[in-house]
Amino acid sequence: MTEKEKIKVKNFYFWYAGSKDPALKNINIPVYEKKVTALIGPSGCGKTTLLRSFNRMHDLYPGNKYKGEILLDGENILKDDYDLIKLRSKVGMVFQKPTPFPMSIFDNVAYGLKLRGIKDRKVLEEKVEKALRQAALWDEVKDRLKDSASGLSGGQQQRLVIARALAVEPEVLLFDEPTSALDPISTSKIEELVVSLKETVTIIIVTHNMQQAARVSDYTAFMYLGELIEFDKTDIIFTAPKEKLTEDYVSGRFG
Amino acid sequence: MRYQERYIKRRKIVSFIALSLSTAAALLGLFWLGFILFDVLRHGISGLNLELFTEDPAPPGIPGGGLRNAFVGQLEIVFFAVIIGVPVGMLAGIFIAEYARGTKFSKTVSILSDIMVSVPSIVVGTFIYAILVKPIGHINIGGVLAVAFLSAILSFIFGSILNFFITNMFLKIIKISSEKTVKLLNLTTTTITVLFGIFLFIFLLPKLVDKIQGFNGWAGAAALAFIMIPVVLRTTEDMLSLVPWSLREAAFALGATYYNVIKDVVIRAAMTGIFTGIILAISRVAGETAPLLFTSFNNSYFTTNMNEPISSLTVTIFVYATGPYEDWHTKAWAASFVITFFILFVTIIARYIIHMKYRG
Repeated sequence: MTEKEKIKVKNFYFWYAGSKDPALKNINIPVYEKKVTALIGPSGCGKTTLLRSFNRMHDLYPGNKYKGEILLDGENILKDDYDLIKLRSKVGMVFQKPTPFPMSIFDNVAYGLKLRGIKDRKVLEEKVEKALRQAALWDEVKDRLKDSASGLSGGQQQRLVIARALAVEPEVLLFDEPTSALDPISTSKIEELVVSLKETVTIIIVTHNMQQAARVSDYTAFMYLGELIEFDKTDIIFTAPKEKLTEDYVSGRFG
Repeated sequence: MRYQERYIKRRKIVSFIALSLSTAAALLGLFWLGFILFDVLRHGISGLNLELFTEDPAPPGIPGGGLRNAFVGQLEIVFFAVIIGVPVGMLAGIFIAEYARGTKFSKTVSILSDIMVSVPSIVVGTFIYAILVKPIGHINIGGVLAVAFLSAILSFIFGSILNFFITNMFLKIIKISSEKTVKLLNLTTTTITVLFGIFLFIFLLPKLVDKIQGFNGWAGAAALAFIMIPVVLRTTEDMLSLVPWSLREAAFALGATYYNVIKDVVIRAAMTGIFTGIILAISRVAGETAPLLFTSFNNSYFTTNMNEPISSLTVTIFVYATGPYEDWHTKAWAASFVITFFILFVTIIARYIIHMKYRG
């Protein structure tokens, strides 16, 4: 394994507010730079919880508690004084359901840039076009950038949201079941997109769909009941897993 | 078989009776509504002429003259009520629905607002009379309290605007995002606002104590604002809580501060609903008489000075309709006509906006 570790999770525990049992127990995984890492496991296994720890989304709700370390480029992002705005500009996120803002297509993609104080119209236009091209949406929307984003189809909206996350040039992109609300054609487009994006960003994807994990990811982590069962290269996880539990899950015997 | 047929017949009859009863009830309600509107229209139109809007009232008993003072006074009182009520109601609603979401405090304020919405408006009038009319003009605890109350409201509005600009300037242009700086900025804004309030109090105390004697327009505006605030607050809160939480998370995930999230995403998504609520609140207070009776009182002369008693349409209607002169009655009808159709018009606009928004 010669790849560089972009993120390293060390002895990580997580508690939801008011709960005594940790939702995540002693998680240790590396996330390699410019690779796709998939988190799989049955419902309630904590994969989304882990994903949302990478940009500290849990901080929005009072009472949630972390223990351990998540190192991004060697720096612990769980430190109290770690700047969340800086963290979230480095680590972007795409959600389960498309979340276009109530504004035009252009403004949606430009929103993150505007938050960072970019005002120059020329720069904005360039970056928006680049992001939309990266998200394979440019040709479909280039004539109606001023239209409301809610007029797009579900798959287009999801790619718009990806473009919005890409526009601010993040280093890591988190996908939380990005295709669970989409039809098969949109799903395959998003999957192609994920594979093409790993040239520029590190990707972590949570998915319920094991075929999807097998298709898009380089590494796979299998989680069960808040614990990490196995982490390895995707083809090993799907063909020759070391753990019995992993084998049962990927062969569809439970889950 | 025969039993079943009989049973079906019975069900049809029951259904017919239920339908007839509810149709009759609806028609009865509609009849009186139409009757009121028609009656106001019939009597009002005869008294409607240009002088009504351009001339002041003639001395009692002498025909002629108009109600210019009442129209202008009404607009002025409602205008200031909106200036006070809408920002306070909206910002409080934002606080309850966003910053304090789910806390005990926010639930308490929410319930209190619901109670305040249903407080009889005459009670609001009496309350404002007790704090802004009776004690004013004399140096006593009540007068000082009244001025303090005014200063607090004004400095609160000032502080909100200041906060808006400072947050915009510092966080956007200079791009400071560390928690400590934000805290420091908030502290600065709060300090400036408090100082402004104290300054305002010292500045206003002699002015108001000198100038305002008894009934005054400000008290009327404050009474109407008092009725508006809970309505606007609850509408804002309801509309904001309809915005899906995932939209906020998406904005947070892009590195937005809570202020950005509220301003750029949440408010924008809820704006139509909030706007409609504000318009409905305005049309509600525009028709209130009781809170104005002993606050802004009445004035048979034209004035735009809010420090004096000021005339309003609703109080004028009350006085004219109970007065002894035929000409007064005609004018009261005309004024009723104008205010009824103004409110009807405003309500229709609000409904139209809702319809436009939720059509698709």
